[in-house]
Amino acid sequence: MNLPQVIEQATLLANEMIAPEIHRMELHAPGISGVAQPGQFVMLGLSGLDPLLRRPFSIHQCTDNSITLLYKVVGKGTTAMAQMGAPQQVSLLGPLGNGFQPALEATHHCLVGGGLGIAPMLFLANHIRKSQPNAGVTILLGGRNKQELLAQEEFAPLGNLQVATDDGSAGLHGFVSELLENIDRKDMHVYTCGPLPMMKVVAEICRKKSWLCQVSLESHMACGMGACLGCAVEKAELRPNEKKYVHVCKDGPVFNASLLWL
Amino acid sequence: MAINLTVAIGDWQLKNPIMTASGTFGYGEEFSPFVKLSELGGIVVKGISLQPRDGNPPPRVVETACGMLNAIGLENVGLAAFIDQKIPMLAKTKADVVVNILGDSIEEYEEITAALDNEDVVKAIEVNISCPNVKKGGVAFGTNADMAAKVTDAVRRKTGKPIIIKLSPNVTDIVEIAKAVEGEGATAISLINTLLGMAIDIETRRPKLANIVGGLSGPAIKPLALRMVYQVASATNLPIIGIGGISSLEDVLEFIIAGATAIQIGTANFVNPALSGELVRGLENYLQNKGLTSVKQLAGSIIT
Repeated sequence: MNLPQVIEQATLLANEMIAPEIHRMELHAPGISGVAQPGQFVMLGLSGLDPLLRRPFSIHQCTDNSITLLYKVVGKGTTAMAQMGAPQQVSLLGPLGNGFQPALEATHHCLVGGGLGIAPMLFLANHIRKSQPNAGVTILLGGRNKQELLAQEEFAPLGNLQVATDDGSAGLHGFVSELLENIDRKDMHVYTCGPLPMMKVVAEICRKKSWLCQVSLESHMACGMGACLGCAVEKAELRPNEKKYVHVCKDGPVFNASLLWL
Repeated sequence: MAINLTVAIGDWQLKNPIMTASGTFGYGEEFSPFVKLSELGGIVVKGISLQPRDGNPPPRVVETACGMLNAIGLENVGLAAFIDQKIPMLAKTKADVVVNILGDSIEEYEEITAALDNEDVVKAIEVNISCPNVKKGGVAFGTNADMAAKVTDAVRRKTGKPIIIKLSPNVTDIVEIAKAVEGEGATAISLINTLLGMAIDIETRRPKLANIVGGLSGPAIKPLALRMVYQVASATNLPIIGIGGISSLEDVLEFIIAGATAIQIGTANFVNPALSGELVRGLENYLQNKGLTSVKQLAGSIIT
């Protein structure tokens, strides 16, 4: 939260459906793209009073002048977003929150994304490739079916890519966590984003194997900047007199798994 | 000609009538990238209780048509940490700070007020009386005229600073409560706090908030808030601070014309964190364009 934050009128460069109900929006937003870190998010606002609040989206891809978001059409806000096209504008507030902290000393990084949680992993994979060209990278993607394995082509050149689907339509017929379980390494740093049950299993595997694990949470939130206190998540009780909740927007969205679930 | 935006709440001279509402502006610092805090009429910080509070379990917020429900549960750092950590930070911003206070008993309100009375950066104290009185069976102070009067009197005796009583709209007759606190020495009245509401997920049939019910805010409540401000302004002689769904310059003007001396921006801070500063400039431009020299020429100017 110490990084500069801006409100930016961002122009749509592209907005296309990439899978059933899943869309990708690219926005010209140099104020945000210039400083954003992997795992950070933006609050996207539309004009008008309904929907009223901005919506949080993790940054999927980041270039010098643009950012890309992935979103699933689920309600009024995302339905309106899906109907927009270049060169319409939206208001972006960001970059917000604490992103992933890629371990500098790690010899191997493992990125585990499930469903729409795949979104922030591409920015992270690109970042690690660029900043640590010699580090090993394994990328594990999971989805209910092969359509949900988003951005596979973009991930493929960035590391050892393995996939799993619930229905067996691509890769392992099973959960992405099983791919993680099968990895036999002593030293590895794991980063994950996806459905909560998946991340809890991933964190538990990491605990057993003594891998450090960073998880990216999502939550309903009104402001994204630590004012509304709406995005509270209960953390593992550690010491007396400690606060019971952390806030996804300003304490996260990326947390060490051990802070949340012991 | 220079435009005079100043207004008064008791002895406190505000630079302009634009304030920010408690619970929507953090402790101010969160908004400093977007608003010069010292340019606002005042900032009202997150409600402070005697002891720190963790707040309610999640989910705590849900959006509804043109508004939102919240059940944050008054999460705050507590009086001691507020004085140690937040007051020095606030002093550096040169903002005019109003501290919103809350308690489970008259004694808690008194103790917090007495502690804040020593702090120069605190220009006024806003008393949240929508909290349950634990010692009296949990009935909210703000829904009973006698209890509202007692809190006002107790707080009044502990400080010479302006006392703003923040009224709950969840009552049959808000004018009765307003008159009761006026009679016990309130300096001003702010209204409205949120309206009790709820939302249900039809797939799971569960309430969308873990607390089941929560406070409704945002543009959805503006007409109701405006009506209450008009009624209270007509029936009392106190300065009124209008709150409720204000999200544009037009909204600000409506409340001032209805009789508000100042207004607070609440939920709209979440939508546009820079809004409060924009409204100060917008109000000045509006007065200039209308050939007015002072915001006081608009206050209570409603024609019925």
